[in-house]
Amino acid sequence: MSAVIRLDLLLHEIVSAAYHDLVTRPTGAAIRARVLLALRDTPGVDAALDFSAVGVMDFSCADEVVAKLLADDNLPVARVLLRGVSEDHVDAIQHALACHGLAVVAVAGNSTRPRLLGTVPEDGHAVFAVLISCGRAEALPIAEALAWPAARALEALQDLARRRCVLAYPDATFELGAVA
Amino acid sequence: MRIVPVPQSLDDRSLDQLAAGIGAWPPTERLLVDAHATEWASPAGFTALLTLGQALIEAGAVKPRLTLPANDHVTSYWAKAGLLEHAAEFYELHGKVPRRRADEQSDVLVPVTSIREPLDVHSVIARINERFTNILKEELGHPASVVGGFSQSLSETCQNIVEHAGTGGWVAVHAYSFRKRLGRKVAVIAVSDSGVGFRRSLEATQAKRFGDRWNDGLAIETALIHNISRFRDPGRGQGLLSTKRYLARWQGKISIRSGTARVAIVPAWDDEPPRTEELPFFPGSQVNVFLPGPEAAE
Repeated sequence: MSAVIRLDLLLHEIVSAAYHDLVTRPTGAAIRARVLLALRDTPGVDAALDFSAVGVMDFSCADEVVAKLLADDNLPVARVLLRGVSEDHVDAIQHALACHGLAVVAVAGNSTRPRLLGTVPEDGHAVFAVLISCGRAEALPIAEALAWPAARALEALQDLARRRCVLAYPDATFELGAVA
Repeated sequence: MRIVPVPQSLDDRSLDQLAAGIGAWPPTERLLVDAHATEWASPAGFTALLTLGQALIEAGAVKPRLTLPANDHVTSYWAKAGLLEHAAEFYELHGKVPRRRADEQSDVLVPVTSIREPLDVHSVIARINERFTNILKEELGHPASVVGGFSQSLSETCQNIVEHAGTGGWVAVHAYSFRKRLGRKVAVIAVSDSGVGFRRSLEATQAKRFGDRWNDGLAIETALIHNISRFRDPGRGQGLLSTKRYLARWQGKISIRSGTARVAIVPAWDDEPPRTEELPFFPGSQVNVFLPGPEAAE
């Protein structure tokens, strides 16, 4: 189950309906607090932060809304996804995540293809790309698709799961899950 | 009364001449800031004039006088740029005050605007409209993708006031021709506050490392070059870094003046020294961001 949180609506509650930009650190901190409240009210496996109606997002807000949310040890969901992000949002989010060594799955506003943002090793990007096309899978078929030893693919997948970018199941399979 | 001449052309560099006229800080005499011969001021000049007036009032000085430019066209432009709307709060104005109010026509992208709290930053960013985008695209020749980064940089520089100054400040954004230095138009963000300055803001966490060498120049370098903030959180101090990265992409420039020093990250088209010290004191901090058209990089 996925909770979808429209950040523009939270912004309107906090500042004013006249504004649609996620700027300033205090605004970002207030948005994060509202997101956490919403997630506690609607617990699920995934949470999607919807940026579709957000204008500008500065670095400080990206740090408060995205990076600090992902860094929260008490996050009541297994995974946070970002959707409706623009290239300008991506710039700010990439920079904020890099400061904390974090990563997240994001989908652009004009696309259905997920991408990884933040600090992810090259192997992580490679297994992520294969996982997009093959759905739920063990490490072996992914390793075969990349012509890698199975242990290398497994390590990369486990790393992505630790970063909460993919779902790991007890039967040793991995899945990207619903992202759109 | 001490007369402080305003340079004929007041910008981020000639601000040093204005500061030299002030003398010791805080001044013991009432100041007459004399702009009667001033022909032009950049957004950095406008925001600095307001900062001076604000700092004098906050220091408990007698309200200074400001003699407006003798040239009616210049005074009219000062009104249009939003300066006169705010100046009366800090100065006793002398000269003909035009009725014209601030607007957002011609090269004034954001008129002089007060920044005191986060909501003011929201208000400034919300003004970045279609006309603003068209100027960056059509007059400066940038692709549409430049606008988002410019807005982010504007937001981050404004937030320096809210986060660090301990008092209010001012922002203005213009696009105008850098005829001498560059020969083309540049979009300029000027942010100035009368607050504690970089040295005092960073003193508690950084001064110990430098001992007796700790001064305004080192404090600005600590923030601008080494991305260090007074907050220990890893995400802090990165706002200036993201602005620097954006400017590097477009051959832009950032300079910060605080107290008696100015530190700049200087692109090839400019000749400002990277660090200038022992300048005449000017209160607070002044941050200037320059975004030239992409042709400047060629």
